[in-house]
Amino acid sequence: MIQWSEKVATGVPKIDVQHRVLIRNFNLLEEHINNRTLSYDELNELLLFLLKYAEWHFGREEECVEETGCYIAELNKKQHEWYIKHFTQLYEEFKAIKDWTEEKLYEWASRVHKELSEWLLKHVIRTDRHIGVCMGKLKPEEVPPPEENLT
Amino acid sequence: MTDKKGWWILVDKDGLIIAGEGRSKEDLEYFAAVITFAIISLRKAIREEMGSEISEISFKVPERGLVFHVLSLKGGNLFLITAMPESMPLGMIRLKTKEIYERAEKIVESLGTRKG
Repeated sequence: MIQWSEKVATGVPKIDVQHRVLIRNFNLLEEHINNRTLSYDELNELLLFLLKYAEWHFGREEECVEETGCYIAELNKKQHEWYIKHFTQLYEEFKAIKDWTEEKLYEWASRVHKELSEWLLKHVIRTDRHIGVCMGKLKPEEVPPPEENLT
Repeated sequence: MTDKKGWWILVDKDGLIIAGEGRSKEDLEYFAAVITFAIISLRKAIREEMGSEISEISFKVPERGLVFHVLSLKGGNLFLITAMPESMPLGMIRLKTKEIYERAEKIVESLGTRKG
């Protein structure tokens, strides 16, 4: 489970609130996996929501970054594009598989959850928190340097 | 306020709460962020398909006995989301929604004054 803490916060309320939505839904997916309560329909709904919400959130965040002229803008955008492309490919893979078994569904969901949530957490800590620096909410020394090759 | 009394939130188009009451701060924050995303998506779809703007959205959550109303404020930059008990007489729902809307308008006005 991803725990919300100061280490994840950018200090920019509108960005943090949207990050919390993504984290809450990744945690919900993990809860379903751990409790063995996941169904195909549930997974479909969660993936679609996470994908569409991430897409919307990235757009809002990029607008905010552009307004401040933050040095992280280009890298942030590049990472967002990669994530949405990768997530879309995974979603298409999910829809293309027709012979789901319970075991296969849990295995696939666990792998995808791990991959997508770990990326998101790294991106928030290593990239998004720089937005907090640009907006005067965080000190530069509080934020690790950006990871150029986050894939 | 509980679900029996209803709750409301005033949010901006990023899903950030400006004011609200009736649920825990965490719950209101989550509703605000998610419902705003849904409103923005719906507004975009209607605009693209029909070339028109929406001003009001209503929906029900029967299991919780709630009726939701979404109203646009400040030229569509803010949304007022109210959740009222279905069991409440229609006249009372209208009256309460009007009351909340007026409070929200005052909050919006004071925001404008502060910014100005």
